Formats: sequence, structure tokens, C-alpha cells
Amino acid sequence: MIAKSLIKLIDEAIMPAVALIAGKMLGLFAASFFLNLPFTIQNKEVFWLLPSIQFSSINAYLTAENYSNLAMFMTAVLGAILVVVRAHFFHESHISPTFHAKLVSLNLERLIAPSYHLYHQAAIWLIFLWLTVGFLIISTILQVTYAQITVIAFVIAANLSWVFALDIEKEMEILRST
Amino acid sequence: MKKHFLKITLNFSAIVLLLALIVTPLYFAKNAAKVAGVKSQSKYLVISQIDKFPNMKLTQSADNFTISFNKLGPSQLFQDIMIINNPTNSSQKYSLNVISANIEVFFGNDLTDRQIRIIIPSQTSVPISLSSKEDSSQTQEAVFRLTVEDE
Repeated sequence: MIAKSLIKLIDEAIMPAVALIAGKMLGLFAASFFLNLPFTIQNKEVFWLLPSIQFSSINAYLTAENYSNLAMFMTAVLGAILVVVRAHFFHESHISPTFHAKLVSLNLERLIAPSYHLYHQAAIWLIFLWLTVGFLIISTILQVTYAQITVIAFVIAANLSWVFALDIEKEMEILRST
Repeated sequence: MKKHFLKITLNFSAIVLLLALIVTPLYFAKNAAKVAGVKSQSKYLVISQIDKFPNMKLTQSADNFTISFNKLGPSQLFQDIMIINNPTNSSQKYSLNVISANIEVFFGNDLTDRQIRIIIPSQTSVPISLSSKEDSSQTQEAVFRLTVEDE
């Protein structure tokens, strides 16, 4: 009864959401651990479930916040790169015949994905990627995140979106010719 | 009719669930780290560090602060005598209006970068330092006003 696309989008959104939260948490802990930043953990602060980290000084907070934002963005980039690479090289509609044969001989045919699956996955990862860029922009305006990180994030997100748009273009050409 | 209503409700709920899933990581990213401090409706919180400096006395009347002390040398720098915290949910611009002429009060603790205006991000703190100029008088008094400017 619920639109099939909506269920697919919800299904595809769970993993990236968990990955981004994990990326942010790991970034915070890694920055605090490796840079010896003093902090205290407040349990059940976010959503009455997840912990929040309180730093004793603004410098420690800014350092940890920047590294963790970078870690969260890198998680979004990794996910988006995986989807874009899959859409380019492992796309059922335009995979090269020799590469397809090689994957079959290696028993890796499951890596090939149909457009329906790929496009839902890509839509979710790119939404997360652009929302992360938006978050970084707001954070930079509030003078928390360094502007350099935001500029690099914007350029990477724009390039990944462009590469994905090329794939959609290719797919439309295939559909038009059939 | 009933079937259509159920369909619309389920689809609407699915969209809400999808939006919640998308927004959750960003909400977490915003609230995962903070600077330790007390929450308040006030535009700023001032934490006094005066007790760490011998012979220094702080008095406050509304937004006006007076610090008096006895000089130990010709020109002195007192770092982090106070800490200002922004307890609000948005960045605030603060400024220091120093009334006394022979003492400089500034944000931060860098003598080469004395700021009297600063933007402090939400839930974060910045120290306030004091620098006395060469002066013959033994007893010094710094009078200054802390104001919140509109962004």
C-alpha cells in the first residue's frame, strides 16, 4: 500500500544514517584520544539514548568538532563514492561485456546492480552528502568549522554529483535508443 | 474511500519516517559535542577566576565590572581573570567597553591580539584578560562594561 519507492528509500537510508552517526562519534573519540583533549561523557544526552561529549575549553571543543565533522563528511564521501563507482562500472544496463564475463567467472555476479537499486541508493547517499555540506556551511558561518573544510567538502560533493549525473545521462541515452 | 485514506496516511507516515532518518545524523552531529557550562536564559555567563590572583578584587553592578588590585611590577598582564560563556543556542557578538584609561581589558589571552569585540559560538567560552600599562600609582582599578551586540 505504501509506494514501493518510499519503502526502498527508507530501507536504503538506515545504513547511511547509522554510518554518519558512527563517523561523527568515532571522529570525536579519535580526536580526543590522539590529541589528548580533556573531556567528560554525558550519557543519554542526545535522543535520551546516545552520549554527548563535553569539553572543558573552547579550543578543545573546536579541534574535536572540526576533526569529527571531517570524519562524518569522509563517511558520506566513502558511501557516495561506492555508489557512484558501482553505478559506473557495475551497472546492469551498461556494464562492459568482457568485465561482466570476468565477474561471472569469478563468481562475483552479485556485485552487478540494477538501475532501480542503484538510483535509490545514490539518491540517499547524495542527499546525505549535500546535507552534510549544508551542515558544514552553517557550522562555518557560526565560526565552529574551518572554512577550508567546507570549501573542500563542497567541491567534492559537486564533483560526485556531476559524475553521477553523467551516469544518469548515459542511462537515459540507453532508454531512448531502446 | 477508507482504503484511500489509509493509503494516504501510510504514505505520509513513510515520508515522515524517511525525513526523520535523514535528519537524525545531522541533529546528532550538532549536539554530540559541547563545551561544559551551565545552561541559562541569560545572554552570557561570567565565571570569575579572580580567586587565583592574589590581592585582586572583583565587583559587579549589572553589566559593569570593577577589578581592583595592587601592582607588583611596572606593566603587568593578568591572563584569564574571567571566563565568558555563551549559553544561548546561537552565536553572539560581545564587546568590552573599558571605562578606565590606564588598564586594558580584552578577550582571549594573547597580548599581540587584543580583541574588544568577539563572536562566541553557541555553548562555548572565551577568557578575558587584563593588561596594566606603566603607571606610577600602586593601586589600580579597571572598570569595564560587557555588552551583547545585535548580529
